[in-house]
This record gives sequence, C-alpha cells and structure tokens, in this order.
Amino acid sequence: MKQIITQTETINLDALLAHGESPSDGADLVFIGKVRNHSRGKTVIHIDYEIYDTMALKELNKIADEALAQWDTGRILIVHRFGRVNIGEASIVIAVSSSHRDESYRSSRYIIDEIKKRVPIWKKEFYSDGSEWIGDRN
Amino acid sequence: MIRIRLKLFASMKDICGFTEKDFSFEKPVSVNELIEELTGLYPAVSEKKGILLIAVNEEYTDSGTILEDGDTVAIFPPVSGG
Repeated sequence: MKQIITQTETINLDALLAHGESPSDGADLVFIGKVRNHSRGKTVIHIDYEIYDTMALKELNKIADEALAQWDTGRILIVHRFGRVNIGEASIVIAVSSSHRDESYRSSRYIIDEIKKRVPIWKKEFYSDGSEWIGDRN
Repeated sequence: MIRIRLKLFASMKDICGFTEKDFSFEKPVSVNELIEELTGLYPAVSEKKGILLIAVNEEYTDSGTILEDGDTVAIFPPVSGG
C-alpha cells in the first residue's frame, strides 16, 4: 500500500498510522523530520515551504515506487507539509512497514535521500533579522 | 507561433517577481534560449544560471530541450525539501 500526501495542515500521525497496517508486518518504522530552531549559526523562527505541488506528487510517487521495487515492504506513507511550519513541528513523515526491520530501514533511508535530491519543494528559513532560501548556495 | 507557459519557484520567483507567465515565440526555442530571454528581462537571473534545474511538463530535463507549443516549463533552484 502506498499513500502520498502533501498538505498545509499539521500532520496527525496517529490518524495516518491507524490504517494500512498488515498482520504480516513485524516492523513499522516512522521517520519524522522536524523544523529545528537553529541553522548554520542562526536562530530560526519558522520555515516556509514552497511546493510545485503537481510535480512534487509525481516525484514522490516515483520515489515510493522505486523503493517498493527494491525492498519487500508493506505500507509506504509519505506526508510532506508546505506553507508555514513552526519550530518543533513535523515537516515530513515517512512510515514504512515490512516483515523484518531491515527492509524498512533501507527503504525509509532511500526515500528521504531521494526526496532531498529531487522533489520540487523549497524551504525558506526565517530568522529574527531576515530570511533566506535554502538550496541556492549549493 | 508557439506558446510556452513558464513557472518559477523559490529564489527565481523572487528575482523575476512572478510565479507564472506565458511567452510566445515565432519559432521553436530551447530552454536555454528561454532563460536568455528571461535574463534579458531580469539580469539577476544570470547569478543563478549555474544552479538552475529545469522541468518540462513536470519531468526533469536539461536546458538543451527544444520546447513545443503548449509546453509548461518550470525553472527553479536546487530543491530543499524534507
């Protein structure tokens, strides 16, 4: 089962994880990416995520399909927020289940690494004294 | 005449001051030529030239791609989601 969601609302993890489970899965691995209050020596107040939503959904689906083709997993759930995300809030959740834990760890790691390379989403960090797009400096 | 829809994101949107605009050309153009046109209008685009990513109709491609009538081109800096 594959579920891909982009949303502005706070992520309700309990509701998302309440369905899609399989009795054959012995591992349910949840990665939560959060907005932290510091970045390269600056104090971050919040982050604004901009998204090319239709393309982002396509790329997220491709990444999930690639992971499903490589590892024997049950559920793959990816939720990415856009718009303003405050300190301590989840910007991304990746949940992967599998019979044994190794497949989930590998799949989850692949998914987050590919998201950071390919999915058209950009973060703009807001500080007490200004703001900056992240990514341009690379 | 061919018509191209251009979408910009993140710092590219800030530099040019729009998120979406239609361009028309007398003959087929490459993405590179579209970027040159854009740089003529907004010189600060030149600062981003080395890092820009290109998608045509929501699929990544390179800047040599020749655009067809009705294509949607997105030009943006490296992604930073997660």
